[in-house]
Amino acid sequence: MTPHRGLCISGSPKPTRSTGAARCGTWVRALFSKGVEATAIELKDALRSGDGRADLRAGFLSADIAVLAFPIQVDTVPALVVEGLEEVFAATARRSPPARLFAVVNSGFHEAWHCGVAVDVCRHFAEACKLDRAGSLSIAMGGIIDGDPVETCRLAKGVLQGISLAADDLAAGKAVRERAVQLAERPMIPLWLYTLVVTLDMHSSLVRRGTWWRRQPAPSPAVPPDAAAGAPRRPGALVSGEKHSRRACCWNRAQGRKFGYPLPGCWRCSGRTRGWP
Amino acid sequence: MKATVRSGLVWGTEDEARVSRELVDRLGQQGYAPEQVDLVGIKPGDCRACFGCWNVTPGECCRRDTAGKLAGKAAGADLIVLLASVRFGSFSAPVEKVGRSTSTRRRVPP
Repeated sequence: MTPHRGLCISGSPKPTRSTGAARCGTWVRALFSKGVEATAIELKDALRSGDGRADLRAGFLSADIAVLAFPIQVDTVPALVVEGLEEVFAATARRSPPARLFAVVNSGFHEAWHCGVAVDVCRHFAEACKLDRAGSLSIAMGGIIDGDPVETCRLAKGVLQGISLAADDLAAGKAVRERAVQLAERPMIPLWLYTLVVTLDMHSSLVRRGTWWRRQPAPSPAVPPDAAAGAPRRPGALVSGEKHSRRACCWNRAQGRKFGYPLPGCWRCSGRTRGWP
Repeated sequence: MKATVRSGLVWGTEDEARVSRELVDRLGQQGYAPEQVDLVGIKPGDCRACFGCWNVTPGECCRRDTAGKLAGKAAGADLIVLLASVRFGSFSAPVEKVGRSTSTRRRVPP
């Protein structure tokens, strides 16, 4: 069946500079160029009011193809998307003929396979609602796009080609070809470069905000020589070999006092006997 | 020993209520003092992926609402139990928002 009406749903909870919303815009333009009349809905706005929810249900019922674009949170769909899916669940189950569902999952990690669980959730949703699954695209390194339109990002040419090919197939009523999926999944830059850029960006952000000294040290696998064999390590305690930051330790203990629970500082500041049971 | 039971059971069925009661009873028998938190009633806000918990207020969510306070309570507990309805293979929305794991969105930075 050749679709005539498309609905692009952005499931990103970010208020500004959302990569998911940017991709939604790209999808609308791509589907428009293939002759599908597409509209975009942002879940974070639609779920705020009864009218918005009604528009979302009506949009889903009238669309022939639904593109759901969202980022992963804790390796799965965000809570906002779960709410949106629940909202349309009952409405779409009555629809005949069924619409097609296409998922575009975005991850900030280097590898696209992190999106696997979220793609499976969309598959379960499609089965529960008796929708046709048109496939999915998993896109990694979302931080490179960072809310800008995908067409303007020079590094995202592969992603744009994948979206274009997928829109071609969706507009023709066919299953999305494997080549589109491969183009979208391909890393935009090497892993070492992405890791370097993200780390530098995070540290510069900490320095700009004056919170660099509050960052927590990375845990070290080394065990202090005075720890009893087999003694469990108390959470938050540093081990020998870690870079000790007195300020971070004092901040740790101040946070503990603020929340009203005992949060140990490191064994250097609080004494060896208190850092370990 | 402190335990916090965070309930994200959204369907409100008799089975869910029975599971919740049974769990609290068993925890009491094991020597825990369970504190029940109904995540559905609290209506926590979404994580906005602003990375404020990394950059602005490291270790705590910069949004001062109930969900942020719940994170502090979890850190003082010996046992955290998350009760969640499964929706399309995923956790229910209230549990997703507040407390899925130690690396939950609105709790602490990695």
